[in-house]
Amino acid sequence: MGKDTPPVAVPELDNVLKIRGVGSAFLIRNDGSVVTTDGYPEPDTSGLSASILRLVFESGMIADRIRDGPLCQIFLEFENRVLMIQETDHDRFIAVIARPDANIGQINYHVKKQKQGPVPAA
Amino acid sequence: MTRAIPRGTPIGQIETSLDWLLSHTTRFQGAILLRISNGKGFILIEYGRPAAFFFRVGNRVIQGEAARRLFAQHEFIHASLRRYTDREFREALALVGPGAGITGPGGRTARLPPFMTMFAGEERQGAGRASQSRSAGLVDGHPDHSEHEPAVAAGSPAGAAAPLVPEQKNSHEGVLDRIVYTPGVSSVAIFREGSIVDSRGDGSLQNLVEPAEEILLSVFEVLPLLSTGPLVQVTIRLFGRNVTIAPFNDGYLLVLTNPGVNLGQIRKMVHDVAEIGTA
Repeated sequence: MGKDTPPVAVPELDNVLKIRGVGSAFLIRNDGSVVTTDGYPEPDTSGLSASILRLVFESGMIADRIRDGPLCQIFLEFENRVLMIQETDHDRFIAVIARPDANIGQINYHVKKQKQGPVPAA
Repeated sequence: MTRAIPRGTPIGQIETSLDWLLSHTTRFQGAILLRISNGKGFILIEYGRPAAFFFRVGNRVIQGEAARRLFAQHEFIHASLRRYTDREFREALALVGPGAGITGPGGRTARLPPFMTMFAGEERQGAGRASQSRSAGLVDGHPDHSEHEPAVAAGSPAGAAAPLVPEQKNSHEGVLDRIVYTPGVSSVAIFREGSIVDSRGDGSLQNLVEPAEEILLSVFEVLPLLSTGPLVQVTIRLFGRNVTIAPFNDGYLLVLTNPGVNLGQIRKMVHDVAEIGTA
């Protein structure tokens, strides 16, 4: 899974990583490839990106059922970690992994800033 | 003996709707004093949760759920916010009595979950819920507890606590009632093994159970990839709705909230409920 892609500078990821409690942040494409990763990445980032994409797909199913879509964000909270997934444009997602006591509002603010309009075809 | 609810600390006035007031007082503890036409009343708020509604026009008193519905009918109500200390809040709740307490939109009488006792004055809130079905509605000759107007206290000295309601065992009914009345929550259900066990609020959630379980499967794929600990909650934020799934006892809670509800509010609600599930 995943294509080899050159690192991409994502200024908002830098801002997110400055927030206390944020461990890592990565940008993934909707084919499962990791565009860029920063911070202290998880050992299996590829596996994680595949699971995240499945989660995005299943969340889209729920959006279809209640007809209140589209999907904006997924927030997973575990006892020791939180995972925030935000769509940035039509085919990329930012995933941020942090401690539960990190400032979630601040993370939310920065990942939302990353959201762009439709990206013109290359 | 005549008494009014405590004066508290004035923090401002506003003219707005009940929905707006309740959705913007999530961390507020105190009284919202209201004026509508020729009448006046108040709402007691305990850290964002409406605990009691009271309204008086002349000699007539409307309280509890009936007062809430009355306030909700007005697009604009003049409101003055007074912050309370825990003691002031307890005093106000004791003074207003159980009749002004409220339950969820479903109108069923709620039992008092033990976790509620972690909040000051919660026992009286529970007492209010227990008697809501008897006392809501128009009552003649009821004492007026509005601030700075004489009122006959129910025989209790200033600051005295009302009788405590005995702690009852955890119940999912109580949890659902509490959640569904949280501002911004439109519906809530408990599901287990593909079926809804119980629910509150508008609309059926049955058609969301299957995709919710699929989401949980995906979440459990993430678990071994992160050193995470057990799942606390998943919130899916859609353009027009938030969907939250959280473990509760041997099933899961499914909560739909309006998009204006932020993650902090959802997390607080889930953490409160988690304490019940583990109690």
